[in-house]
Amino acid sequence: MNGASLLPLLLLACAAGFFAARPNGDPDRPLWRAGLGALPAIMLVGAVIAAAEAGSASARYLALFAVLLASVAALLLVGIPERRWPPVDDMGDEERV
Amino acid sequence: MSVSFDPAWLGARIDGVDPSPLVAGMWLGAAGLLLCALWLRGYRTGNRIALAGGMLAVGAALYSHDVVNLPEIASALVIGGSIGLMLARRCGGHRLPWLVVVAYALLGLAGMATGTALLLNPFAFGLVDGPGRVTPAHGTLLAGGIAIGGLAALCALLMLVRRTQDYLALVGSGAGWTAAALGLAMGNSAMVLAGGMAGAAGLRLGWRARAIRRAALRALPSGSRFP
Repeated sequence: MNGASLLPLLLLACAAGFFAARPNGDPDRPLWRAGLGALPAIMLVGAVIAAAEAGSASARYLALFAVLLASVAALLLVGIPERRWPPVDDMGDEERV
Repeated sequence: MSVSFDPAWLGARIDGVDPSPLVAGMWLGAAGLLLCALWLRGYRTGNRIALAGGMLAVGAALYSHDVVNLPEIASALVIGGSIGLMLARRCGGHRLPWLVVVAYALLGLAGMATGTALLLNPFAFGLVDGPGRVTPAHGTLLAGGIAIGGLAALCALLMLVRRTQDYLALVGSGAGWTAAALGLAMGNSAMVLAGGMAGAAGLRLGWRARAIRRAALRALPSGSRFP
């Protein structure tokens, strides 16, 4: 698989991400409460594929370690926006974008 | 002149075999769900759509690859997911923003570990040339992914030490670019799409947050100090 064939897809994704990252319409929901963090959690897919195709023992355990870290991070980034929030926000206005 | 559809765009061609319509549909469906999640990021629905997209992408990855160690992978997923779920549910409300920073640091470390595992096993992903060495293009992508992942983890650690969250969007952007670089090296369209979207969106949000901070500082009268 030639990665160069995916370059147009990357440009398309960058354009989509740039236009979709509009200012947040809800001022009570700053960045860390939004679901943006779930996107980088796609790293879990790469870790799973690396673990699935691992040949040597060192590569396999390293990939399994990556799966463990990425699954912790993915559940954190998906689960935290589902929590109920404290009434006082300590984040400051700069994060309300 | 007829225009033929190239399945290589889907990034799911494995060992020279074109993807099945099911796998191609799963990749594209996951990418579409993640784009919808980014568009609806201000609402709780967007978070759940992103969860659905991520699960679909993981399912496509497991379905389309010849998995040799499924019990270990499932165990790591269950253990890691349990730890993440317990932390997300039990942690106090005032610590939740810092938990997001920790999650980005873990993603950066996971990117470093994944890139290193790919470098240790380049034959499985076709990253080598004739003599059996990693090609310069793939080596550059993997090194870039490892470096950006390490930088994101380091920045997240510095944010935890300095008790600031001014660069949260930029750290998330770094995690996204790591996924995009590794996806380009592996030829995985879902990682390229989601990583590119997260990277570009994080850069734009981080740039806007920086502009807002500067405007707020300019609005203060000269010589004023916070108590």
